[in-house]
Amino acid sequence: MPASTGPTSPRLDDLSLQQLAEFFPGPSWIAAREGTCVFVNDEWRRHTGCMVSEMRELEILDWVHYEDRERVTEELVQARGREHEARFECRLRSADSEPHWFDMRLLPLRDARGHVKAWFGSCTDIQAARTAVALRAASEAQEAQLRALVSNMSEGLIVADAQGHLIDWNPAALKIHGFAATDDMRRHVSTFTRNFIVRTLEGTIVPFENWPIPRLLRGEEVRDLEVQLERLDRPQSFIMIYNGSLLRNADGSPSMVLLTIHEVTERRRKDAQIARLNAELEARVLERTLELRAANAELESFAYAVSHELRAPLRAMNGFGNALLEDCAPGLDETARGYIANILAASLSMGALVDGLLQLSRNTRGNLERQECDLSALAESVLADLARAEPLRAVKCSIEPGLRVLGDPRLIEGVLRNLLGNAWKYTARTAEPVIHFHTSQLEGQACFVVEDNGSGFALEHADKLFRPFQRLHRQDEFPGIGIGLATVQRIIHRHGGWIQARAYVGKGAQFYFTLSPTKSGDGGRS
Amino acid sequence: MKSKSILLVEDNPNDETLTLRALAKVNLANAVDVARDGQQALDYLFAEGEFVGRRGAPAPSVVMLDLNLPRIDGLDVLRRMRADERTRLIPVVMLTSSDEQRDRLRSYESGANSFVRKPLDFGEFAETVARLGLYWFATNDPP
Repeated sequence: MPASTGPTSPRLDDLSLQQLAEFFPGPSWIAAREGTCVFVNDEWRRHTGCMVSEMRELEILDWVHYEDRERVTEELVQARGREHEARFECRLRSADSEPHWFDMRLLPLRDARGHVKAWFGSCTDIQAARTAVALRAASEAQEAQLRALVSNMSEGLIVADAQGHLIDWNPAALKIHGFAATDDMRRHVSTFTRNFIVRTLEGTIVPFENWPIPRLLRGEEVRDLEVQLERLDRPQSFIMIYNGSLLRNADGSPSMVLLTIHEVTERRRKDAQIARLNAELEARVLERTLELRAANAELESFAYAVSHELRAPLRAMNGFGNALLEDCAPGLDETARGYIANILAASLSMGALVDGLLQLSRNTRGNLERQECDLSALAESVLADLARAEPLRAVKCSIEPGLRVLGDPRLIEGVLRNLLGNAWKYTARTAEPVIHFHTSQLEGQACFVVEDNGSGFALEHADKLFRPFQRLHRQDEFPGIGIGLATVQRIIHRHGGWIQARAYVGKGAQFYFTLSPTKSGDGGRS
Repeated sequence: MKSKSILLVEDNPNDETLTLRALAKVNLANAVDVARDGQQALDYLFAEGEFVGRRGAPAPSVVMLDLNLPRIDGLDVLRRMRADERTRLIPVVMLTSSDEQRDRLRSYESGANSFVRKPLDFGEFAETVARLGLYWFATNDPP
C-alpha cells in the first residue's frame, strides 16, 4: 500500500517499515511523529473492516472499542507526550462484531539523533488466551462445586478401578461404613472381607463374589440392592442400599466402577416399629370391633326381649278392656265406658311407643349398605301411600325429578316417610296445602329440602325437635308420639349427613338435609 | 275320623283367655285344647307323658303355636313336629307378637304353614284369631 504523501513522511525507511508492518501477524499501523496515521496493514483492515483509503481521514481511535476509547486515548496521549513506549490491553472493533481483546503496543521510532520520527503500533490477539483463562476459571469453579457436593452429600460414593481397587471415595462413604475420616481405603475391595460380613435382609450370608463391586465388575446390574452389613471388629451393623454402574472404555472393556451407598439402618428400624404399631393397632381394632359387635348383639336381643315382654301386658290391657265393653255392656254407664276407652287408647299409645323404641334401636345397628336410591321415586311412592290413606285430602305435591343418592334404601325410605308424613300431617288444617321436595342450599351447602306450608312451629323450640318423644304441638292438635324425627336424625347421621329445620308459626316448615359426608353435600341430580 | 280339635300352645294366661274368647265368638271354643309350654305340646301331639290317654286320638286340624315358650320353644316344637311322621303334615300357624323378619323366615324354613302377628288392638286380634280358626278348622281340607 503506498504511503500517504504528507510533508513529514519519511521515504525509504517508510517502505521497509510498511513491509514490516504488513508482515506483522496482527493488526498494525504506522503513524507520523505527531500521531496521524500513515499506514494500516491488511490484518487491521481485515479485522476491523476499515475501508478508509485516505490516511488523512483514518483515526486509529475510531477503531478502538468505544468502551476502551477513553483509556486508550489517555495511553496514546501519555506515550506521545513523553515520547516513549506504551503497552496496554484493549479491544478493537471487529468486522464480525465479536469484541476482541488485543495486547496493543506503541513503539516510537527514532532517527540517528534520537528524535521520534514515527510511531509503530502493533496488536497481538489475546482473545483466545483470555477465553482460555475464563474457561479454566469456570471449570475450576465447577470442579470446586462438584467436589463440595461429593464431600457434603450424605450418600456414600466409592470409585474402584477395573481390577477392584478402591481409588476414590467421599467422606460419607467412610462414615457410613464406620471408618474414620483419616482411614486409607486405597486397597482391593476383597480386603474388606476382614472388616465385614454381608447378609441379605433375611439373614443369609452373601459371599464376596456377590458383593456389589465384584458383581458390577462382572457386568451385572446393581440396583437398589439392600443388604445388612456387620462389622467383624466391633458390634456394629448397618442396612445399606447399593446402586452402582460400570463405566467402560471405548473398546468396551471395564474402566471403572461407581458405587453409591445409602444408609437406611435407622429408617428400617423405624419402619419395623411402625409396622409393629400398626399390627398392634389392627389387633386392638379387631378386639374393639368384636366387643362392639358383642355389645350390639346384646342390645339387639335386649330390645327384642323388652319389646316382646312389653307387648304382652299391653295386649292384655287392650283385650280385657274390649272384653269388658263387650261382655259387661249392660253394667257400664257412659262414664265407665269412657274410662275404659281411655285405658284402651293408652294401651295403643304405649304399643306405638314400644314399636318406636324398637325401631329406634334397630336404626343404630347393622352395616350401612349403600346403594343407588332414586329419592324422587321414593318420595312419590310415600306421598302416594299417604294420599291413599286419606283420599279426601287434596294436597299439592311437587317433587324434583331425578334426585339420586347413595344410601340404605330401607332407612332412607323411613326418613322420607317421616318427613313427608309430618308435612302431610301438619298441613291438615291448611286451606291450600303444598308439599315440596327438591334440592336447595343452606348456608352455602347443597342439600335436599322437604317443605310445607302447614302450621309450622316456633323456631326457638327447634333444638327439641330431634329429641325422642319431644312434641311441639299439643296432643289434641296433632296426635302422634313424636319419635319420628329422632329416628330420622339418627339415620341421617349414620349416612354422614346433617339435618336442620326452619319454620315459622303458621307459615310452614322446611327440613334441610344431606345424606353423605362430603362438604358439598350430595344433593345432586342424576 | 275327622279331627275336631285345635291345639293352642300358649304360655301367657292372658293371651290364652283372650284367644279362647275370640274363638268362642265363632263357636270354636269347645274344639280347643291348650298346652302351656313346648314340652306339654309335644306330649299332647305324641300322646306321651300326661297325655298318654290320647293314644289313638285323631291329630288336631291345626296347631296355633306361640314362638316364645318356656322349656321347649315354639320353633323347636315345630321342628320336632315336622321331623316325625305322625305330625309332619299337621298345619301349624305361628302366632306371635314378634315382628322380626328372621323369626318369620325361620318359621317358614322350619315348616310353618302360616305366620301371624298378634296385634295389640284386641278388635284386630279377635278378628284375626277367629278367621284363622274358621279357616283351618272349617274351610281348609286337612291332609
